Amino acid sequence: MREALEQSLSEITVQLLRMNSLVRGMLDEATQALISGEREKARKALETDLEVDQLETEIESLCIRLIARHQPVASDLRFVFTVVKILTDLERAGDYAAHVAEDAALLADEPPLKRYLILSDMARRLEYMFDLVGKGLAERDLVAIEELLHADREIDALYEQITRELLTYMLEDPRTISRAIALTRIARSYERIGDHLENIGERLFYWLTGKFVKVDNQISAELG
Amino acid sequence: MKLVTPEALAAAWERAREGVILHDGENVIYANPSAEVILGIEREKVLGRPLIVALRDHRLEVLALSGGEKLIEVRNRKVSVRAEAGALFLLDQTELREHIKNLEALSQILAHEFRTPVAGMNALLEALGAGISPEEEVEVWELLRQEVARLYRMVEGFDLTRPTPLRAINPAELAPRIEHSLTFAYPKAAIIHWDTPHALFLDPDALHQILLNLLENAVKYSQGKEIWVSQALDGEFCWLEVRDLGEPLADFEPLFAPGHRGARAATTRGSGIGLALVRKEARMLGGDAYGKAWEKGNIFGVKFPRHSVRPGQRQLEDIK
Repeated sequence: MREALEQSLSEITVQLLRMNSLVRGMLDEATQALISGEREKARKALETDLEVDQLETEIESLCIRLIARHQPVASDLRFVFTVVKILTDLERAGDYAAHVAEDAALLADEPPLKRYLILSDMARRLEYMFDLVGKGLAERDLVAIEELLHADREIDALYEQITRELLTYMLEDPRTISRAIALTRIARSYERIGDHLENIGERLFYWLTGKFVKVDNQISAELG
Repeated sequence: MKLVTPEALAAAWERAREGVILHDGENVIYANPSAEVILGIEREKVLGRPLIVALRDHRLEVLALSGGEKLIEVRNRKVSVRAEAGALFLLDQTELREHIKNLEALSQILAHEFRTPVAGMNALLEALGAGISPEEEVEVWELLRQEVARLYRMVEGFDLTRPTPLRAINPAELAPRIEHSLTFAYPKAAIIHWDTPHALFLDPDALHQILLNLLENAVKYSQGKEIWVSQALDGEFCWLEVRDLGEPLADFEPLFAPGHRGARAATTRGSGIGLALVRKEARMLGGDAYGKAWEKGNIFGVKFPRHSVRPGQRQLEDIK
């Protein structure tokens, strides 16, 4: 009986790791589409979003089936509920990556407003956050999860920086407004992905410790 | 012949730089320390568990199960991945790729910087071969000598980073060499008017590179028309501008990005690094490069301190 439960739990972990990797891949493709102006990459990211949505439904079904068959308790139950919560955040992160891909496709025909250094930096840091989710989930690594909880602060700081910069562009030259607005939307999508990854960090922290954590400066200080 | 023992082979894999993951099609059987580093995993936590738990990347998983070879970005590192039945080999190529990228950027600069002067030198040599007057011959030899000296300085040790001595120079001093190069590289070259009365104290090669690239840009897009090189001083700063009669542009800033070619570049040759090089040189002189429209065309220029400080080490990264 325990073996069957372990197998179901492992299957859920495996599928969740795949979903995490797919969303990370979407973000990567969307960012590459933005930087290189290749519509093909944006199209790939949007196609992957469908896969992500399917996987979300599939994992949710696995969780329901596990509860029905095995009536898990204690940390197993906590894991299943953690996964159900994570699914929502991961799926939303995928939606935001799709928004980036859509905006990148819109910008593909326009001359770049600037070198996308801050946006690339945001994407690179988000990808690292996805890697921390993978490590935390696969290895039950609390250190990785604590790092994940802190990581969104850098994304927020970069978001503020790029917003200010884009505003300056718009004020200085009204011809840049449409492109600057699209880039602001992209930055906003990155920022939201960071928030969802932070939420996932909070769920994983709860799974491993049984303690709820809400990232604000005070709790972050306690963690750090 | 002495046989290699399984223990010796296992120990060798433990020390290998290439990461290796062995699997049975479902679960991880073995991971060496290099695989731990490349994938950011702890092997004792992934052994006996599904492949995706160690790989955490759906593309790697697909490759591991289907076989083949690919360069994949894994955990923000560029990794060459080779998959065979039951084994995944991982080689981190991040540094190597970076090195190749640097060399490509360097060769691009060299090709760009050589193309126009060499075309001009070729034409001068043909003129010498065809026979010209003794006075012209003296002038041609001098032009050739100056160009060869500049190109030699540039390739000396493949080094674009070595500054030349600073000296007082009037931009118009460079006019004959630059115009000869442009005339032969672009048969429909425009008429260039020089209005640069002030001497500057800076690296002459940097000034040559700035003017050659600005003028080459202007010549390409206003063939057969007139071009004006002008200069202005304001306190400690100097402006050098090249005005052309080309089709007015709406957006200038993207043209200074390395590799960027404007919409009007479709019918011209070029690598799109000329203006990026101008900006790099201007910044090394303590200033910057800019573009703007005027009523009849476009202006591309540089602003920098009149008495340039000695340029620092030139960074290839600046123009990548």
